[in-house]
Amino acid sequence: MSIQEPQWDAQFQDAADWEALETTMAARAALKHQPLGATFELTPFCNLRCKMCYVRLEKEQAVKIGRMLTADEWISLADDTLKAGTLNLLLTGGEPLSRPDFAEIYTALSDRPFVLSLNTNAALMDAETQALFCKRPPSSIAVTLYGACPETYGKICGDPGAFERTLRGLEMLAEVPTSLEVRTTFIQDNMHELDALREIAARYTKRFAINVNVFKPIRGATADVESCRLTARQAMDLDTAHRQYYKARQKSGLSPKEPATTPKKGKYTGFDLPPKVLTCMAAKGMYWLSWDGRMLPCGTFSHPYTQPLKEGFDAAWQRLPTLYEDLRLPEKCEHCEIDLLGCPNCPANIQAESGNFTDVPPYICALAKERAQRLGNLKTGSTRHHTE
Amino acid sequence: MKIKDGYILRDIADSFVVVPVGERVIDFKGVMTLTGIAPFIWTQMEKDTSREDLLAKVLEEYEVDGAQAGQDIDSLLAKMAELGLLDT
Ligand code: SF4
Ligand code: SF4
Repeated sequence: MSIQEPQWDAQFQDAADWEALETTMAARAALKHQPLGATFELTPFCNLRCKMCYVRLEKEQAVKIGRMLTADEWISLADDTLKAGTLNLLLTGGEPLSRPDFAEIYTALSDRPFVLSLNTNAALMDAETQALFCKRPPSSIAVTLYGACPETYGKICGDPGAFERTLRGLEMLAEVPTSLEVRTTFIQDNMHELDALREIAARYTKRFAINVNVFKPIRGATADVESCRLTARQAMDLDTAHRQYYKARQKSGLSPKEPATTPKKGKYTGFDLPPKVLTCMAAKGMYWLSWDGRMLPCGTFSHPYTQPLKEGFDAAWQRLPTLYEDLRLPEKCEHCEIDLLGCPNCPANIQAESGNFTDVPPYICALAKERAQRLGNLKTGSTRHHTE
Repeated sequence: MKIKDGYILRDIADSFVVVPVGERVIDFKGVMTLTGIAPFIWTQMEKDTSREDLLAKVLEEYEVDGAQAGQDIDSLLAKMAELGLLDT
């Protein structure tokens, strides 16, 4: 271990300061191109069949695309990532718990010095998995909750019974000493359930995050999202309702914090680092390993990718940003005024929507325009409020 | 005295970070960063040691006066004890 310049301040900073530290570490990692944050997408399979899922595959589809990594391969990749400097490790899928060898992989990863997080739909939770998590908890668990009643689960996930199973799973997870968050993705079938979903979430945790933007499936997944996703207007209405609820609670002193929201583009836009077209940490300080072993900047991309199992982890990580170096936004976006107000036109989203990096996707345009318009309205609205 | 098992010191992106593993995550959520002489002391304390040994090692490694080093070691040990990190 290297000891740097002997400084004479014996400092010890504990978890309370972790959030601030995480940001500075992320910045330093990006500047040095160190792979600080990883996502292991353990499987493309799922016990549910959500109609808007961007990633789930059927067995027949998956075999044509690639081979699922074995538990040993994930564990050996984890060792490579440790050596390379990965600290934050998110396990996701598909549904990670649907892997019969999940406990084996999880146990091995939890014995290694990562800050582990898990995404799950909770419907496969059983006493054994609960005991595993209680004994060696991840730092955080995010549970997706798709509806507030069996009917909605039936419509969205193709399984009405999954509603009760999810609630039972949430009950079990609420007993795990971890930071629990409930997340809902909204589409036509559950957009009327915002309040009911928030109430259910509140039984288990204070953290409830919503996602209102659904993009087309990627990497061979075939969900027909166009038939069920929200229109730009509906998406903004829901987002506004969600924010207003928390603002009102904050005013009345009931809610100390802003609502948790899905990460917004631009959190780390200070960096003018290659590949410049990506305005987040993707390929700079974070990466995604897909179920079949591709390394991608983030899970929304399909390609280009590198192959850590074939070329070695370090080579794959070094080569990743070079694949995106010459990439640019579509010509029209580069001269678009709306972009300055914030547009979800990340190349990953463009690739998901258009199937290429060059065509401007109408859905993304509509979202950005709706948002820009509301920002205008919001200003007028709040002025009126203050003068009344 | 030594650091309890299950805490691992890592050197990541120019920070020394202590990460709890396995069952230790129940005792300590999140991570700790160590700066200044703290990583050096931590490493010494991965094996059983005493305050006297620590002071001697620090004086060997750093140019600092004994009183100052002793104070810093004491404050680190107190913090570690407060966080329940020590096997005494
Ligand atoms: S609003 Fe449309 S054209 Fe403008 S930046 Fe967004 S996607 Fe591109
Ligand atoms: S979608 Fe784009 S902005 Fe979002 S994480 Fe992926 S690369 Fe970053």
